[in-house]
Parts: sequence; C-alpha cells; structure tokens
Amino acid sequence: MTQTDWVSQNFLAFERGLNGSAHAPLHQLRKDAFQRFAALGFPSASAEEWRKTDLSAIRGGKFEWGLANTTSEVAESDLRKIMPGPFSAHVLVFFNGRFVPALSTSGKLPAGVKLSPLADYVRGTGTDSELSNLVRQRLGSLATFTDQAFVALNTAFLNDGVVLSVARGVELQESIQIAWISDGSQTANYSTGRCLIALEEGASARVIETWSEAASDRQIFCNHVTEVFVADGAMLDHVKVLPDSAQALHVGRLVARVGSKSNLHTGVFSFGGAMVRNEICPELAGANSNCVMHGLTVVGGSQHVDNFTVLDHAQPNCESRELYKGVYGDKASGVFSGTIIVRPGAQKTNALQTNQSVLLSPTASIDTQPQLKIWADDVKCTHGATVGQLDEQALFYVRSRGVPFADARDMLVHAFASDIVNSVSTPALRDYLENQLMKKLGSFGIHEER
Amino acid sequence: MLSIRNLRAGIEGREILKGLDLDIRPGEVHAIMGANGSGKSTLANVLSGRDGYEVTSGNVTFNGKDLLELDPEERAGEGLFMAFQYPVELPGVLGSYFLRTAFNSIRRYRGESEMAVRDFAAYMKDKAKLLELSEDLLSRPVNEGFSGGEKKRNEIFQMAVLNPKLAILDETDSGLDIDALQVVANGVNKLRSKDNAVVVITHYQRLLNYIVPDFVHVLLDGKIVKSGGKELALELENRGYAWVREGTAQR
Repeated sequence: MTQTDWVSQNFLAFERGLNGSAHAPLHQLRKDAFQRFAALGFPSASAEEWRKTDLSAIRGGKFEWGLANTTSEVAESDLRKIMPGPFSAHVLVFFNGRFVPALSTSGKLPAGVKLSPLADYVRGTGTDSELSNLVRQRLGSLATFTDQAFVALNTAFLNDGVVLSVARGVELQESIQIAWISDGSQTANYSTGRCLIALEEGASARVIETWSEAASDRQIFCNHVTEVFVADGAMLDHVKVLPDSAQALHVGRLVARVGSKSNLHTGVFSFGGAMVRNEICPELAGANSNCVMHGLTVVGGSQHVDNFTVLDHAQPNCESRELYKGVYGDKASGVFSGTIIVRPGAQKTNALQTNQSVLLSPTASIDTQPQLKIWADDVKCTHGATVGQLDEQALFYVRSRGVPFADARDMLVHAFASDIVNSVSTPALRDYLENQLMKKLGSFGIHEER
Repeated sequence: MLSIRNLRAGIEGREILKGLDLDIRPGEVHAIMGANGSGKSTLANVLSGRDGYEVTSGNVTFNGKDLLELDPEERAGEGLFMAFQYPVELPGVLGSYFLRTAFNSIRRYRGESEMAVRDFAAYMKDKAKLLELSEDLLSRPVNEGFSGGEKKRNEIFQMAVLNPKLAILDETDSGLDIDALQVVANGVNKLRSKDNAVVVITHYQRLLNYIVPDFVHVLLDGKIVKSGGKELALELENRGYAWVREGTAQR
C-alpha cells in the first residue's frame, strides 16, 4: 500500500467512467497531472513549505471522488440554505464538485461577460468558441503542477468548475458567487473544483467563492485551484470564504497573473476546518500595478488554518499591501507564511506585509514566517508580525465601564478584525462575515481568560 | 456610600497605601490631594479593580457591598465610575457603540431592560448638549488619535452617560489647558446632585477652583494625614506639601 492508493483507485475509476470523452484534448493534461502526482506524492511532513501543517488525514484517508449521487440524503432544497449567501443574483452552485443547474441562478450579465460551468469545455463539447479557446489555451498554463502536488491532484481530476471571461473595458459591478458544497453524510468525500478567470484590458469583476458542507458525519476534502488572468488596466476582486467546520480538509490555491496598471484584491476568510491551507500566489507581471491581499482567520477547537502566500513583484513601480489577521482560541493553530519576491527589474517596488495574531488561550498557537527575496536595489519592502494576547489595558478599560469580560473580549477582537471585514466590497457578504465573526466569538469559552 | 477602613495595599510586594481611612456620603465632593508618590494613583487603581495591586489588609465597602470582592464590571454595575488619568485608545471600537454596550451592560447587571438603539442615541445627544460637547467624538473610535484634552472630555462624557453614584476623577486635570479644564469642570458640576458623590484626585489646587469640594484630604506616604474644607486646598497651594510633611513629623 502506498499513500497515494486512494488517489490511484479514484483516478482509474474516473478514467473508466469517461465513456468516450477520454479522447478530449484535456484528458492528456489529466493523465500528465496524474503521473506527476504519482511521482510527487503528497508533501511529506518534512517538506519545508508544509512543516507546520499535518496532512496525515489526507494521506491516510480513504476518500471517494465525484460522488455520483448528487443529492444523497440531503434534499436539494436544503442546499441553498446550507451555503453562505446568496450574495448576488449570479450564483453557481456545485455539489460534490459538480454543477447543479437547479440550484444556480443567473442574473442578467452585461454584454461581453461570459460565465459558464467548466464541464462542457473540459469535455470539448462547449458551444462558445471564445470560451473553448480560453480553456484550451490558458487552463493549466498558470497553475502548473511540476512541483505542486495538490495542483497535480486537482488537474488529474479536472472535471467541472467555472470559466469567466470579461471582455475589454467591460465593468461587471455585481459580484459572481461560486458556491462549493460537499456532502459529508455517507463516505469520506474528495471533491475538486477549478476556476478560470480571464479579464481583458480594462475589464473588472468581483468573484466570491464559498465552501460549505451538507452533513458533517464523514470527512470532506476539497482540493481547489483558481487560475486568474488580469490583463492591463483590469481589476479583479476575489474573496474566498470558509465557514466554521470541525472536520473539513481544504487545500486551495489561487494563482494570478496581473498585467500593468491593474488591480488585484484578494480576501481569504477562514472560520474553521480541521486542516485548511489557503494559497494565494499573484505575480505582478506588468508595471504600475497594485495588489492588496487580505486575510482573516478566526478559529477555535482543534481547527488549523495555514495561510500561504507568494507575491511576486516581477515588474517595476508596483505596490502591494498584504494584511493577514488571525484570532486563535482553544487548541487552534495557525500558520502564516508569506513570501515577497522582488525580481531584478522590479525597481521602485513598494511592498508592505503585515501579520497580526491574537491568541485567546495558552494552548492556541500561530507560526509566522515572513520571507523577503529581494533582487532589486531601489525598493521599499517591509514586513511586520505581531503575536499577542488581547491588550490587558484595553480589556480593563472596557470592563471598568461595566462590560462583562466575555463581551469586552468580543468587542476588542471584533474591533481587531473589523478592518479586514470592512475591506469586502459586497455589502451582503460583509454582513455575513460580520455575523460569522460574532457567532464564532460567541463560541469561545469564557475560560480562555488566561 | 463609600467607606474605606485601614486600607493597606501595594504592588509587587511594595506597600504603598499604609492604613487609609475615608468616608464619602451621597451629595459630597471630596478632593484627595497629594504629592507624587503619596499613593494617589494606587488608591485609584485599587478602587477601580485593576490587576496587579495587592490589598494586604483593611476593607472597602460601597453601598453596603465589599468592593474589593467585585470584578471591575461589577463595580461599574454598582455605580462606580473612574475617570482615568490615561484613558486607553480602542481602535476599531466606535464611541457610540462602546457607550451603548456599557450602558446596557450596567442595566443588565441591575436587572433592568436594555435601552433601544434609537432611544439611546437621543439620550446621548441630550448628554452631549448638556456638557456642550461635540458629538463627533462618538462617531470616532474610542480615544483613538484624541488629543489629551479630548480624551479627558470623553471620560467626562462617559461619566455623564453612565450616570454613576460615585465618580472618581483620577488626575483629570493633568495635561489640560484652562479651556479644557473648564469644560471638564462644568461637566462635573452639572452632574452633581444630592444622590451622587465625586472624588477628585489631584496634585494641584487648580481644578478645585472650578469643582469646589466639600472636603479636602491630604494624602502623605499612603495615609490621609490632614482633612479640612476647601480652604485647605488653598493653604496647600500656598505653603506646599512640605508644610504638611513637617506638621506630621511634629505630631
């Protein structure tokens, strides 16, 4: 038995079930990815980039991919209640990695915006030639898997997801929500999702991706890749939301290539998961661009969230602001490893990275590893990390005004987190995050005083 | 209302209050004056329930309850308010939200129903008007980026809103210019009534020109060594704390 047995079994079953579409052009990509994954295996416990995150639940799991029964014991009508939101008129719902038309809604999209499930285009049967070309040319071109086991794994099981294309100069004001729901009622559930987002020159869009689970009796493992192309002068706002969960396993990677005079804003909100890994890896590939990366983690119990970012300043005169905050209660643990690369030509780079953590209990922990790799000489790069308990002076001040300890603590934690929540541009999502934050704070025991 | 008997307390094993006695009745204004190191801030900290201070003997009763047994929030619930010498900044906590939470927490502590958001806003507006304070302090995070004067005014505003039975002003005059001093003093004077009491802890006599005390106590080396009427403050101002020290030595 090798650690990748459950993967191999699933992949063989997947290939058998392709039923004629195994000759689709993208199937070769899947096969290559599978082979690459078989060679790489899951990252070992000693792999530097995974040192602080335990993958044994995935490695040693017995997962089944692509559960055929898309509704299982969970009524379809309940799924809309389970998912966060809706935050928009445009909602694409996926259950166990497959698009569910009945649950999805599509508002009127402006001309030049093309939004579609990915499955047809992966099979080669998609009807829109522009999207066909986009998928053929770009899918997998940025999210490469040579040294990325989880991207290889995701690509091997490439099946469904979302492709979004916004034409030159078109500004899509309303957000698009992509809701990933996994069924945890019957068997250990492995699902994959894939998004391909391409904004042409001067285009703009806002995308919200949410995860949730229907029933939580069995393990759920979501392996996700979002591939983003932001052309010159374009703007993308991408927010990822992981609600509270005791047992979810999640490894997601967003890779982005950002052109010149462009804007990328990413937000990652994690309220739980047994093991969560959020990778955000933008490359600023054009001059004079701006990148803002926000993260908020609020976890308790034995939850674990690992935020991993690599921000690549490849061109001059770009500005980046990275601010990740975390609140850890009970025995929760967190990792923040943020790398900023400044390439030789990227003069006048202005990069600021900040990681701030509050530990609410003596058994909670955070491991922070900032890394600057700078090969240009005329740059301004700073990083800072703070880890601490809540400010005792502030806590006392609030209590002295009559506010009980737990409420005072919640008030201060809420204030600590509020700038990240407020950075979200979609009002309904902001309200939701606000609620999640308060709910999560309410779940922390008062015993965590010291 | 407040009764302190033979209070001995200190910090990090060092005794600072060495047997302090004080009685305060409703309607009274007391001034506690003392030089640096006399124990003024230790007294304020012990009464407000700040961590790290150790009471070795004596007792403090407040409206019949053992004050030293109560958590800081319970003391506030019982009607104690401390206007701090160094008010803390609370980034991200809006003033209006902070005060409403505090106000309703105290109501809950007393078994009363909470005040609705809109009613509270009107109530706060009235208080701001009474104190001639600008309401924009409330739409900002508590004390964040406030000047020294704004912070002290904000303390007095909180006091007005929470309407305590006993307010202790810990060096509220320090760092205030004369205009701010008058605003603060006006606020306190408007809130004086036969049912509540005020303790002004100060180094200087200056504030007492505006908040006229019924009693003045001189704190020296952790004890109250001299008590008198408002004229005692003037005498102290003229003759200095050395005068009291000499007087005590002769006794």
